[in-house]
Amino acid sequence: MPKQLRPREEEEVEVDEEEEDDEEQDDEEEAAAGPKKKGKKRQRSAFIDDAAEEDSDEDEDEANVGRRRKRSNFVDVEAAEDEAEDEDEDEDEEADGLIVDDGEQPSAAELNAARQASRQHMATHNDMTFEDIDRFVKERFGGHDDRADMDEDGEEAGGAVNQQALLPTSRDPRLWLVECKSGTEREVVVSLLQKAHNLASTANPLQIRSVYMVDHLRGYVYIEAVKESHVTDAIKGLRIIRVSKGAKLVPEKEMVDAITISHTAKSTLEQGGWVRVRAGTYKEDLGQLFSVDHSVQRAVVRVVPRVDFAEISKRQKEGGRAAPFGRQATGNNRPLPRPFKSEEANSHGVMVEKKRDPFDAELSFFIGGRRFRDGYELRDVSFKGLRAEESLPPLEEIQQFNQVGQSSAEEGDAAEQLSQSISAVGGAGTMIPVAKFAKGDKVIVTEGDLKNMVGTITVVRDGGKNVDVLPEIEGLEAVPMSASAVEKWFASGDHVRVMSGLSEGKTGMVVRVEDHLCILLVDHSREELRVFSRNLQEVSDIATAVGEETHAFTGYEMHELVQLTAGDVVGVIVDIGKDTCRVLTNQATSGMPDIRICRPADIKQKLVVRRMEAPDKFGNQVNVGDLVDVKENSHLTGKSGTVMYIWRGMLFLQSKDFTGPGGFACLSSNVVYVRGGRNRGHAMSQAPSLAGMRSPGPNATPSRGYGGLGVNGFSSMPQSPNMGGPAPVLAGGYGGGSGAYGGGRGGYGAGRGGGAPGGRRLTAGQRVDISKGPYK
Amino acid sequence: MFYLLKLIKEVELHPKFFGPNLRETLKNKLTAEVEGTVSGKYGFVAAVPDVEKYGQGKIREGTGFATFDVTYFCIVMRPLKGEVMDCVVTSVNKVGFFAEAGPVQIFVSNHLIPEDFDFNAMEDSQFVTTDESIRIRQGTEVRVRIVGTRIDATEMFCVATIKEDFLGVVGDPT
Repeated sequence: MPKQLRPREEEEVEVDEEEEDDEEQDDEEEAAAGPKKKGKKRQRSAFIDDAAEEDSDEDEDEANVGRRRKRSNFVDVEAAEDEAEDEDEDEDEEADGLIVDDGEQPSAAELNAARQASRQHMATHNDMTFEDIDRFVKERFGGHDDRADMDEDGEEAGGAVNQQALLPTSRDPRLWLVECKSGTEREVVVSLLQKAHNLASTANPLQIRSVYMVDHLRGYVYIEAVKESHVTDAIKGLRIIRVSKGAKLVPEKEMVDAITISHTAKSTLEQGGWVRVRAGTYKEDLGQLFSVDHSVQRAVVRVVPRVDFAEISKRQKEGGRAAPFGRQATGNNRPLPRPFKSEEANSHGVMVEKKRDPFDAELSFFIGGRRFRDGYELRDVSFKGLRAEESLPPLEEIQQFNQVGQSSAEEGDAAEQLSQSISAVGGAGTMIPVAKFAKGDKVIVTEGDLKNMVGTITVVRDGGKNVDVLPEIEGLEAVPMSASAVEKWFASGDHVRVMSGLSEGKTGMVVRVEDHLCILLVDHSREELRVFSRNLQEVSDIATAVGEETHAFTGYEMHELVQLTAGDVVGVIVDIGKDTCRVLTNQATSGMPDIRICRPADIKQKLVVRRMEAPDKFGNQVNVGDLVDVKENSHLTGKSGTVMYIWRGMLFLQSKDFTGPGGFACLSSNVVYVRGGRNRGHAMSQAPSLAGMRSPGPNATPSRGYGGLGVNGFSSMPQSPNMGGPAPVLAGGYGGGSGAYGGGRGGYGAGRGGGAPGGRRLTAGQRVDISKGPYK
Repeated sequence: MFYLLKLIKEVELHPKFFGPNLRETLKNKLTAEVEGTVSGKYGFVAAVPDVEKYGQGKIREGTGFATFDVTYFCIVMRPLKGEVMDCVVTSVNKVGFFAEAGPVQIFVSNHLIPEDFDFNAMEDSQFVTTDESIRIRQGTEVRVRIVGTRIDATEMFCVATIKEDFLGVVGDPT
């Protein structure tokens, strides 16, 4: 802005003279009470301080009267100066009439008149529509940069060239970084504005060009000025600025960065946004911003209440504080999140005050200083205590969160809840962050001419902002599109992986697609899962529980026997999530499986038990790999499973018949029969057995009966009675059955190829080695 | 769907079988090694009907074992997306039912069962139409269309639908 760079000292002197002249003139005018001059004076603002009066006054004439009347009392030294200069060339611009440059000292009467006028003006100003304001801003600030103008003349260059031209050069004022007390950045800016205002009409006004602060930079403000001395002059005497530290020059290259507000720093703290609480009782809880006050850096957050009524009631009786400072329940001790219900509080004898909220006059419940509304607690938290969710929180959490509001409103239709939670996350567009696309993703176009076209992404450009989509229809070329105009697209049957959220890393098959949601059948646990389709990615048809690299359970695998830290609890890992896993423990009570959700810290170690055996109902020995029938268990009776682990009389069985997680069940060994065991009360139907394998009958004594696993004459082995159990057929040996061979009961040989649960099968003609017993 | 494929496999043989029945032994060994396995590429190997060529054996240094490149035919079963097949229900729960078609495990989610079926947990878990005329329970034969497949090292798993014309119950055990 070279125009503004011209020396001002001369002007100042002139102005002073000018003003004196003007005073005199005014007096005369007032005496004369000329109608036209009157009109002009009436409009003069009381809040005027401009050094450039002389220009305007020089060519003040009849034509200017109308213009004067409209002038605003919004003060801007620089702009007004420009204005004053431009007046001759550019009368049109004045028509907008919002620029002030009067500099006289008005009399009391004038002031009064001016105040009235300013009020009138404010009224008209308030009437401005959005478009008017927009136009005004454009007219006022747009295109004032002559270099930019030059570009327009020169070439219709694209953004890059224009942008380049806007970069600061050595001729421009520099940026200076000034240290101030943390938290007083805004105050500094306002103080300097006031100072500039106050000094503007004096002999030595502030020479700085601008002051600004950025929210993410605490303890500093930027000052734009030509010389360092200008800055030091400006900040001199301001108590909240660390004047002694001086001003640091921002290198020219960094000037743009200094005023660029980075995407992350732009703090997504907006009303309705999702945040996490950093510390205290609600640590890591999901919250929704109820209201945000950027000026004091605080926000009111809606969280699912964690209230211990018993504790509060006790405290209230004792007359102490509800939650004394520093004694907040945190970690595992904190109460579980539950919707707030005043009846519940009353039943604990807690005094609940129901009154209108002083802030917005809505009915709320108060307990001590805590505020509850619609089942949520409203907490006033400093921005520091919050962390904005970078992307949309996982669906499960949003659902849980929304259910609070719904349960307090006594509605409960699942479908409705879901639709509500979807609407809560922004429905069809605005709030949903753009999904991260990768090459090869299938997408559907949601906007524009190609709406509903399905295609594949071939290129991802500009950090994921734009993509090239190759339509599925043959013969078409890839179309460049904005990433916001496409959405991930899945069809039922697709094999996908969850990319974020609680279930991150899980793979599953899509069974249904509803708008933005996909319902998956998770590969290992065979359970259904609802996930936003933008969180999914198609994967090859290979199943993994959780990508090994992503979960926190390194060293542990699905279906492993582990010991938990808590007491004498062991269990089988049936599901691994990102941060937690589920363990089916041996603590089952009355037939109900006990599944615990564990964090890595809850798992003590992997259990490797060499010798695992237990007696079944009739005292037969049960070994790992045996097929057993469940006899006395309400929901599993009649089913059978393979013994995977044995721990102190508890069997961990697996079978595809079990509906539990991972097809696992934990039972006491005395409620099962080993298939082919000695003391079967009744004849078991014999499953088809392998060629050459003949059972000596269920009640036969375990003896030297040579059943003979005649394998093409290569070898034969002694037949143990339990070998006659329901041995799976060749192809049917699939899944759980083959374990029955490997029992090695009574010390007889275990065929090679048996033993490993769910592992190798015996086939007719197969050669086997006997590894144990007399025929070894 | 079933395919007849010609594949090659390297079979290793102990020197004690080097003799008159070498080919038969090789075939037995191959059959034992291949039949009943699932390969991600081809699917479930159901049978080895014939061996085309046994190849020349190469003695391994040190061990004395010989390896033969055996070219054989095999019948493989591989479920494909869109394929219609009949299967038998093995278990029913509220999210859907599991069924088997030979080595293939099939899951039909309740989203892929027509709306007029309701889950009834009262008397064995089953899906029943609103007029109670059709039931899907353990043992029921159903015709399904496969919508997705996953083939692991040890199993083949499919998601299927009966929510289309001409699909659904084709036979009841009772």
